Amino acid sequence: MMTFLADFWGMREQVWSLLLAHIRLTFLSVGIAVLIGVPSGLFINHFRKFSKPVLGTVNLVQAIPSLAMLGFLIPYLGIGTAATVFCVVAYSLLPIIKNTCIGLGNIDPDTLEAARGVGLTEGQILRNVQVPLALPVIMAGIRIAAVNAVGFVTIAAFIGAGGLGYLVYSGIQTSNVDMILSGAVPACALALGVDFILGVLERLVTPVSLRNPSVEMTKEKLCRRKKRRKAILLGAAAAVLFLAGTAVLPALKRSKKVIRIGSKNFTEQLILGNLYADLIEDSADITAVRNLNLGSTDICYKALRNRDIDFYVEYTGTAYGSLLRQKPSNDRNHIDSTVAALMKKQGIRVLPPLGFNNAFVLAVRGDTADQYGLNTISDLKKISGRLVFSPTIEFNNRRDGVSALNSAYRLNFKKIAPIEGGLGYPAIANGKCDVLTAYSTDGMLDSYRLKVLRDDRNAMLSYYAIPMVREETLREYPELEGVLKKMTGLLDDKTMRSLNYQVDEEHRTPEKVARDFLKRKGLLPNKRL
Amino acid sequence: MIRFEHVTKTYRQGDVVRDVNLEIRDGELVVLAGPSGCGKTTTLKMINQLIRPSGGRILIDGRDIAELDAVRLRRGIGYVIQKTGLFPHMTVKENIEIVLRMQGIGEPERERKVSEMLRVVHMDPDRYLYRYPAQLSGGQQQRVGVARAFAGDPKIILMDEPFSALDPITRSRLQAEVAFLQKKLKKTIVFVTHEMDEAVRLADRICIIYNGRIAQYDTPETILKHPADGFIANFVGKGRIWDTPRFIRVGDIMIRCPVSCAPEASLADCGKLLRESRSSAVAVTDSDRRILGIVRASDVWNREDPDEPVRKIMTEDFSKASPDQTLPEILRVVLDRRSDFVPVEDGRNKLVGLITEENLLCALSRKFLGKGEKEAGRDDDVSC
Repeated sequence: MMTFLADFWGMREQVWSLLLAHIRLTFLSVGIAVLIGVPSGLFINHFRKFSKPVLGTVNLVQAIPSLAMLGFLIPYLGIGTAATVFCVVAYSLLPIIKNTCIGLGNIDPDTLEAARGVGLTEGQILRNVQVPLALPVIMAGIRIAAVNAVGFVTIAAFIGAGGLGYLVYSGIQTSNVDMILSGAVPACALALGVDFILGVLERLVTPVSLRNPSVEMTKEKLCRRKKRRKAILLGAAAAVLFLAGTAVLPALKRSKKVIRIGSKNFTEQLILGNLYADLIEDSADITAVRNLNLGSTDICYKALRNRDIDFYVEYTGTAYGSLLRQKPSNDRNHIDSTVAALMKKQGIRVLPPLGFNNAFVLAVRGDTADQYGLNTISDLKKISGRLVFSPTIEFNNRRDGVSALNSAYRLNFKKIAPIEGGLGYPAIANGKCDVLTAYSTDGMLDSYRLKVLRDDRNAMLSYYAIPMVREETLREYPELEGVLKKMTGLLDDKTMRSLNYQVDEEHRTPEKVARDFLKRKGLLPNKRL
Repeated sequence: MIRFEHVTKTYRQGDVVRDVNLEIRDGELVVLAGPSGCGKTTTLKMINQLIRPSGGRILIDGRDIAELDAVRLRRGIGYVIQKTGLFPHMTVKENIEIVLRMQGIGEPERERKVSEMLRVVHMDPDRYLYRYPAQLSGGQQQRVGVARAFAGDPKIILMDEPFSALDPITRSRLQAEVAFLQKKLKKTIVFVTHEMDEAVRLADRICIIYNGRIAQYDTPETILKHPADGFIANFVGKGRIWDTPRFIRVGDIMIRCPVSCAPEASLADCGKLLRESRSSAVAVTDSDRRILGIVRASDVWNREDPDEPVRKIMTEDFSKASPDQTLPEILRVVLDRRSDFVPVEDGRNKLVGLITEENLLCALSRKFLGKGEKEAGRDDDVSC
């Protein structure tokens, strides 16, 4: 608890800015959803035959898993705000449209007939009768949508939209519970806060006669009430507009010289992303926008191709096998040249490797190794039927992953239970699994005292870290290539693992670790930062 | 004037209103009555275009309403419905003034008008202006509904079973007020009900609708006395006329073609007539059956000369009635003047009937003995 509070305090500025980003995204999305949903509800209430198809569609959207929808949208909307807002809007439509419909449908038909009968136009009926009577129910729908949206925006950190989910994901990747809490607790508080504020608003728009049947109304009270209501609604509208504005404005005034740095969602990538961002900002007059912690390799690569980011660090094996879908090979030169050539065709320049090889390795607990006398992967062959294997989801799916491994070593595990990123370490420590895929540079290999099994048959691809940058970015900023190449060969396996260890185990932030490293190496000569 | 010309309304299930021709005169209160589902409400709602006819046309003051703007049309027509149709989120004032507000009438004028309307329906503005509908009793709500309908000062007011959800006492009070308002403000009111009592009580004319057609359109009295067919007789109900004594007239209950004697007839002949008719008196008429006087049985028996002409003992001091007089009126005559023998004469002073104590008793007994008795008002009811 104390460490959480201390960590939280240490990250307060980051938490605060992520919280603001979270609020912005939530309000922007829900605002758009209201602008679409309420008129849609009014529309299908009026033209009943559209009711089924519209409600059916938004229902269907609700059934799509959110991560799937995000992944699907990246090629069209890129990473970050646009795709997130689109998704949240899509998920928010159901409660808003449905409640609008219900609210309008609940109005006594006699009341509407009377309204028509006394000679109100359809517009006047809408404004004076239907909307005031349906508003409490509509607001309840908006409230549900908004609270859901707070939760959903958390997931959107996966595609670099920022928000408190960033901390949750980073925390999961690095097995840092305090960091998870630093994101989750404010997210919960935000959800409760949004619920409370919208609850107040809901009460406010409920006609006083329906809320409190015994209310004693007078002319003065009625006047005052109307004024107060107007003021609060105006205030709420202004707040929403302001938040939406702060979300949109930065996008409009993108400064002239900007490079957008991406990274995947694990410690090493976060360190590398920050490293390059600091390096560039110090050495060149370019602002580095950090789109770090993107959900997966796939998202980074798509983002690079879609020009949502200009730069990220990839690994040769990943680029070769997963991204370019080449036949497995153990020839490093072949891999390097193939990757460079094929990436060039996509307008992407592959820079010389950083030095370390972050290959997949298999790791077991020390006691398991002792019990069975395990040193190499071949040693697993006899006993694999007794062990549970937890590869990462990515490793489980790639061609050079589990299936290649199984056939090279003729392994047959009792069970394969894929697990994402940093969650594997606590899992293996608690005996939930016995064999884990890890990266050779993982700092946690040391802290969890895991034994790495040697790849004695050379079945695993090599994964040398390679910076990838868009050709057009290099053309635009000629000074950039020199800056990026300063890092070439500077990080060997041991250095990288120690940097990772500082984040994963010593709970220092990736930003700090990156900056300290650059300072130590004398790579921040201009001290602009 | 509202005129329906061959108006038809067809839904998918069939015709709801068939070829309705109807004329409602200005200042008249016309009740559309009939069993539920007969098309009376549909007929009503076609007047303010809440429902558009499938065929035929409706004219108001000679103009086809289909050519008028529906909203403008409705603003000129007050509308009251059963469940009041008040807006639950608006105060009494806001409910009544809404149409005035939509027409851009300023606040002071609106407040004045709303207060005036509330007073018209016997509600104290100071107490009720800022109440909400849910804070009012059913009767008060409907008063507000009526006030709203009258607020725009429309020529025509439509009322769709406005009082049927109210308790009998409140209902009858509101009926009386509506009847009063209608006469005072000279509105044309079209009123839908399925209750014959209400129809008879309020209507200048009743239009009975059955199966989408007009079964009979006439004054309440005629419909009660001369239902056009068995259905209407049944709908009106047996003995209903007895609930409305003002519709029972001397002509309906009198003894027709009563005996009379000439002034020259002898007392002996007259006595014979009296014995045969078992009557307490006999009318004396001239050759044109004009009444000259009456001769009471007691006077005949007191005289000794049987050949004396009745002229000598007849009296001209007697009460007369006309066939148009109502039952209450004739009862008052009989009771006040203590006359048990009232000759009835038509416009030309000719003797057409008689009202006697016995015959009144006989007529009144029908209300209480009811069943099995013949209806009052039938020509063959009480005869000579």
